Amino acid sequence: MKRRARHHGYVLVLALGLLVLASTLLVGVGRAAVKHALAAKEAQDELQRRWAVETTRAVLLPSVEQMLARQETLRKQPAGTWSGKVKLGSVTLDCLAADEQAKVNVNLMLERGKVSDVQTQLRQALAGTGIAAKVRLRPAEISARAAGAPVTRPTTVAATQATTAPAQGSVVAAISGFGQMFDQLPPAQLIAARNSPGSLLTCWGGGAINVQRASPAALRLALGSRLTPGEIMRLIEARDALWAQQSSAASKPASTAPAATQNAPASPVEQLLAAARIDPQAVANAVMVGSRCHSLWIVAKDGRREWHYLSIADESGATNGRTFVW
Amino acid sequence: MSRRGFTLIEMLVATVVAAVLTAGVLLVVSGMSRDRALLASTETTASPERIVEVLRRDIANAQAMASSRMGDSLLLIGNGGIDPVTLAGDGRMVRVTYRVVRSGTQSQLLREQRYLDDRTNPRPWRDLVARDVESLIVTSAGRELPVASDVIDGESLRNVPSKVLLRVKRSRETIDEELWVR
Repeated sequence: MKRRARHHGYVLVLALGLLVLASTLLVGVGRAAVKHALAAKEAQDELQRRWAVETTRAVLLPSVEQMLARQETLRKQPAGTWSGKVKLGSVTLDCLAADEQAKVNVNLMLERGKVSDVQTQLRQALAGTGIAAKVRLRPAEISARAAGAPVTRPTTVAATQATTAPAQGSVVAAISGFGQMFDQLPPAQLIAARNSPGSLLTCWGGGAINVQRASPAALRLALGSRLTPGEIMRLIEARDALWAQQSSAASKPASTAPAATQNAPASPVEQLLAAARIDPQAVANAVMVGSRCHSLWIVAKDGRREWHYLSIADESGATNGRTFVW
Repeated sequence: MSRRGFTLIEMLVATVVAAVLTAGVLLVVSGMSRDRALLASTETTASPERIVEVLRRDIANAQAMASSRMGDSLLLIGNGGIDPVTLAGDGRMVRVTYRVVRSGTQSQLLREQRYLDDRTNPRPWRDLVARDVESLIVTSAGRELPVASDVIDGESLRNVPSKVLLRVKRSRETIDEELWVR
């Protein structure tokens, strides 16, 4: 009898062991199923995000100029950037469109000054933003010169621009991306604040700054080596006065447009410079009115990660358009 | 007597044995899943999605490119720099070469990077993208990339087109992908 009782005990142990095995197997199967489901969801999200980004880029990038112009008409003041959200299905994208010629072209600054001097100017301009210390210019062509190597243009783009770029503000693209301006600066910081480097600096486009849209800070940085602070102030005042004049003219019937402009200089740039009493030679190739280079930042988020895309559309001939993916 | 239940000792022994068994089985299973995860992580570099993702990033960030007719190399010049220490994208101007290296029956796809914006310190380094890659062919909108119009460091380059067709041949599969990069 004692033997039988002991035998019953081992049956219990066996049953417990089998239970443990069965539950472990079930847990394993469950985990594998969840893993596969997560992988499928991730692939679906990635495809949706990529498709949304491509669609948004294809629609918005060619229309940036119209979007900025419309914003200016509504606000009756210069608008160098436009920001908004685009929702496509379950994907929401933060978009930031900008006139790249309303920013300071670092390549043009490098044409007129040493790398160290330009670096100092940029650090001063970005003082207070917390990223001034991260400014580090690495112009590709100048590095080659410094190393004593034969000068080769960094890209095909640079090679073609010499012949195709307009005479106004044509520069060699020694700097072709933010990675050559800053040390390990996350893309979110490039566009984080109003006075962020992404809204002040550029390295694309013809080089000349669009005086009609540029911020006072951008104008001071771009023209600081060519004009006195007083002249820059007069230029900003003349620009603002022109804006006010255009706004009031737009609100009146066409027949009542100001007659004073009949005898004004032909081009808008000359008109502005004359109003500001600035010698056009002093800012030759450095200023313009209008823009042929625009950018579009697209930021996609999923709660855990952010994806940053920057696209450049350049009709100035300096570059053939660029894409940056972080 | 014949109907008596389990003694306290039997119950305790059974519980202890069950606990030991559970711990043992869990240990073995977790060890197996850890090994599988480790194996998977080494294999992720070889998964088709991973290969396409790595190439997509570099081609999108490139300004100019050149592809060999033999399908054994792809040269990209642009701002697709990856910091060799942190492995995070740094946006610096680099020359990236994808090279199919064959040794005996083995072949692998390597990514080689060299900074172009600091010729005194180009920090060249290479990384294994995938094993078992026989060829890498990049064509532009169904056609082979046109012959070079510019030469950089002895290499013939073309601007990166808006659409790129990618074909990665492996012994077990061929990855065909259409990349919109502009």
